[in-house]
Amino acid sequence: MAAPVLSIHDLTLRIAGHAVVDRLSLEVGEREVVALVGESGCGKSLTALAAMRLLPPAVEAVSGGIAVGGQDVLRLSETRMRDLRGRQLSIIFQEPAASLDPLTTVGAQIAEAVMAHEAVGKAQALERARSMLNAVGIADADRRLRQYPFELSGGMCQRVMIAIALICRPRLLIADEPTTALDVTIQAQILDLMKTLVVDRGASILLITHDMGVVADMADRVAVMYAGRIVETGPAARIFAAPAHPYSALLLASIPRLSRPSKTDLPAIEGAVPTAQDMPAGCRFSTRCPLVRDRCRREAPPLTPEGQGAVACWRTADVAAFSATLAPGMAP
Amino acid sequence: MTRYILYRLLQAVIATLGVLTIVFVVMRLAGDPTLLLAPDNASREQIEALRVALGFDRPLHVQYFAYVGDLLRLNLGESVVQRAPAIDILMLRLPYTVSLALAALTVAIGIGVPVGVIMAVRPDHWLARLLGALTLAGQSMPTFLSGILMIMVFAVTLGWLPSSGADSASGIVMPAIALGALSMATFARMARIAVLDELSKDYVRACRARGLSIWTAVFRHVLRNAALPLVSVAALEIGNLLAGSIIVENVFAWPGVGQLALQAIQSRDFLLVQAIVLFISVTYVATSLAADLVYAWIDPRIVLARS
Amino acid sequence: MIVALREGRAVLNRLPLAARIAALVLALFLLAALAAPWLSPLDPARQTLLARLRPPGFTTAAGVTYWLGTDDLGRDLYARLLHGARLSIAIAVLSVVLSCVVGTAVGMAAAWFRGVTEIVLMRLVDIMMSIPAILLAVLSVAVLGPGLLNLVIVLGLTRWPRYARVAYGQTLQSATLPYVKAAELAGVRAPRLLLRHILPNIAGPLLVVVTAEFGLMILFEAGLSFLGLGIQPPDPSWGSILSVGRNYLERAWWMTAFPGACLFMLVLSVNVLGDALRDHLDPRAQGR
Repeated sequence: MAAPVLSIHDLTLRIAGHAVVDRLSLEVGEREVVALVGESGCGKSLTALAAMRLLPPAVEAVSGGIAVGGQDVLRLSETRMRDLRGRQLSIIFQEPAASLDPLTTVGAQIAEAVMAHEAVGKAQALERARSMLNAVGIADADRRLRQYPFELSGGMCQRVMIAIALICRPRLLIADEPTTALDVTIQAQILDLMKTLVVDRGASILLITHDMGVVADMADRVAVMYAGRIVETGPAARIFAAPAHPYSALLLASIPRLSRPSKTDLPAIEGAVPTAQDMPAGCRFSTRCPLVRDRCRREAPPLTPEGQGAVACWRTADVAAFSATLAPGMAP
Repeated sequence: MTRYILYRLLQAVIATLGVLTIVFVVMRLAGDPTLLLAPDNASREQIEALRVALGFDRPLHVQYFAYVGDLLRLNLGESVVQRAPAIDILMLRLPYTVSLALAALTVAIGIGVPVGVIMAVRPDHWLARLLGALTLAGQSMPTFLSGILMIMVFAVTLGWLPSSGADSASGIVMPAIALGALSMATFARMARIAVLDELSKDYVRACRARGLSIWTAVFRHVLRNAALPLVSVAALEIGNLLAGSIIVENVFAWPGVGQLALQAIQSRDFLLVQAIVLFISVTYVATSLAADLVYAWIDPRIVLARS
Repeated sequence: MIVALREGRAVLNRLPLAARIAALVLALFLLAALAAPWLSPLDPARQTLLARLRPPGFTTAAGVTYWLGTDDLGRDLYARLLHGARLSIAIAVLSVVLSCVVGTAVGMAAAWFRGVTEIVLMRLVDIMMSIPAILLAVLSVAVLGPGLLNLVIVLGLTRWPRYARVAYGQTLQSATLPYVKAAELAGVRAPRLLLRHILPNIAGPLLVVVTAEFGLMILFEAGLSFLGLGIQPPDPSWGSILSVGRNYLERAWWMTAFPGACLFMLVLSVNVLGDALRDHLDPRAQGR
């Protein structure tokens, strides 16, 4: 089996002394779309930024390893890291319009990405930019190249960001909530675009999102994250059909579906994510878990292999039955 | 856009009228201005004659309207001492002060902005801390003191630069630095805030994500975005520089408007003093207006939204 | 008063080291200014033409030591510096108090009564801020004549717009606070409301302005005295000593170095303390 494109191992990030990401391990293989799912604030964006070495100054300690194409990203010099950014791995963010310099033309910004890594002249770079704009589905590329970001819609801006991210053919694209700020009608188009341009060309995607619907569309494998820890991983199909962790089960059940019997309440997860100071000693989900036992509160369950993935729960055997109660009258 | 221009123009007109009025009031604070202007040994008849000649015997509101009318026709009165139109005297000296102010502005921006940028991008670097301390020190030093210290070091001790006067081109160096020093601190502070503000924005992170170094991102993208607020600061500082020239020109015997003002005060030529104060104040209002209009013009979002 | 002092000391303990040193230096200057007549054995106005321009440490045959040297008329520089401190600080304090009181009153009135009052007063503030302060000061002193009282009035009346702006903005904010509204509804009259309820709220930001302005007033007075428009001879002022010292740069460096150093250290400590206070009281107002 080929070496994974991205390999995160025991990553721990601390802010103000608290581990906001705790011994996280994750892998993304070739031509794979892996979705990292979780609520806002669970640390998934920080994980992505860690892979790019773009963490905000508030993060004071980083331990563990992140390997991209074999190189340990956390130990590289800044110069070597700059080499990797945009060329081996790229990232696109949630607010595409804010990610563009308002005073520079779109074309110049795309060309910049090329010229940062390849020894080409401005004219040639703009040519590449033009063809990339076409590839991401923006018509009238010539005119658009000369326009400023505020003249483009949100969806178009995201296409531009994808163009910038992919123009040097990276092996991994990290997408941090790429469609959350966009119209529902555009979301599907953007996701399709990403899949076509990336996977079909032999690269991989790490998709970060809180939206299970997006996951269902795109992902080959899913990693579910809660309060800085991975609680379950596995093939997407399996996780949707038979989640092994109570949190995954609840997340899936909270997606509104037409097949739900009408007039039943949408199950919600009681309580809120514990603050960094109040994090429980054992399983971090123990404060809200409907299947909680004493052991859960005392001992944090390790991530143990399960099927084609892994799960971190003491009561994983009972989750299937629990799942059934959440979705009365729904076929798995 | 046109509405903004009109509104801003109206503001400037009101400010100018206000300035004229305040100067008018101040000149009469000690009572009859004729007494200020008359020589010490003038007889009562001479003072009366002077009063009538200058129009100070008329009712206040008549004086005020005549005053405003004169000013609108750029008649700044006549210097009693030099017996020449004040505006002519001013124009003779103006080029010196303008060149000094521009040189000082160059110094202030040329040093202040890079200092501010460094303090924003690398706040923990020893250079940034040192520059921060120097900026604070610069703000605590009055211009005449830094001027005198520079003379002591560079003219008296080292002999590199002339200690006064405008005879040689190098004579502008020290006055420009002394005058620019205070503004330098303002530009450094403003530049630091503007750059810090931009650095926290998403597009900077996106630039780094493309593989650009932080400094490349700063030079190519951040500076342009951060420059817009600095334009307004520059315009306001011009006014402060013109005003500060009074002290600096005195220290360095620079033959500009500032030195003229002091000489006028010492020779009790108050109409000339009034003329100078009016001129500089109105220039201040004008540059402030110009800055706002330029700002509105160069921001492409506003430009393109119009078309 | 006691409460204010105690609170002041508590605040001081929470400031960074540099600010505490600055506060100490400032206190020393204030003390020196207050105790000037007792700290200087020699008379600052006494001219000894035989002892003109003597360097620091010079001791006459009669055993009189001029610690910091003498000036161009043989007067003891140390004594003149002490008394100059007294005058400069007195002028600065008085003018700050004057402009603070006037400016705060105007700002609060404009913000509280709104309507025409607001428009007129704030326009006046804008216009006054259109004239560079030093010009107005120079013109006013030229017209009114120099002298301690005139100086205080002129400096006080050129700077009040700064306080007015801050007081205006802060009063607008405070006026919406629930307990202020409650007091208003309970029938408390305007003057009492403004003094007892609003003023304590806006005191913090105003204090920040006061410290910045205090340093500026010292510089202004020194500048005006330097130009001959401030404190008149024979009364000593650091600015006027520097003005004379400029002519003796080669022969008597002490006439420039010591008053210069005093000015610099006083204003620097005021600025450091002011910056620290600002960070403590209102971190958002960085680099106003």
